[in-house]
Amino acid sequence: MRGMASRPRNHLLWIGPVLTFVGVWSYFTVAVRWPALRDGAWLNVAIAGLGIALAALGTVRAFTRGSRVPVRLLGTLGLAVSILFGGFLGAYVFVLSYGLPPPSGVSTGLAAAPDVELLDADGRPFRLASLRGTRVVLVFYRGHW
Amino acid sequence: MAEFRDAGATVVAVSTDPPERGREVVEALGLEFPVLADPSGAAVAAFGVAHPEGNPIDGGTIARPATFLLDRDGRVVWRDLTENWRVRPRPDEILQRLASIP
Repeated sequence: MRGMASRPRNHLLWIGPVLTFVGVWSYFTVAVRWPALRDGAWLNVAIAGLGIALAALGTVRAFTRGSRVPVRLLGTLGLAVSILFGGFLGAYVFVLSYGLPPPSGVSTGLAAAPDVELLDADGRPFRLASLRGTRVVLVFYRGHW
Repeated sequence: MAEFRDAGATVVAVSTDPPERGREVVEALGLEFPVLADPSGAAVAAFGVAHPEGNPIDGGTIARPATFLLDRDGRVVWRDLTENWRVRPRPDEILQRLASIP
């Protein structure tokens, strides 16, 4: 039986899962700040995909090189976790975020904006019509909850 | 924001959060535009941008992400109702549209 020292260390077993995690984690912490990285998400999907590929390669090596059972198990576990993480990013980017229902009842074309009454940060009434005379960029968002 | 001012445009954000929340958001993010509150959801409904499924937590009215450009006379000249909540119109695109509004 060969000694441990003679067998090259299988670094892919940890590099793969770590890279996958970095790819997924950095999408939500870093890429979301940069529209070019956020909208397409290709960089993070590529990093996570590469991580999964390396984890898979490392696991295959662990089996073909006859690594010890714990190493094989850890490799398989790391690959499974990588696929879960990467799969989550893929599902979020390509499926979940398209979950907005189709718009309905939104006027098209050149129509007068409804004059609605809103509240400013101090709770005072704010009429949209008070902005007449200036161009308005009106952004609706879901709020923080 | 200076670019929007130079384009003669006022930026306002609207959500159904209470006014205090708008203030917190402005302070936390250092925003230079007002975050207005529409707690009743009337404005969201008037613009037709209510999220049909509502707030998944309590079912209350929330807005889908939407951007409207109004001209000086208060007419809607452009709108974007993204189909993907990750992807919203970018400032440079809005500035470009603003430039074409009389």
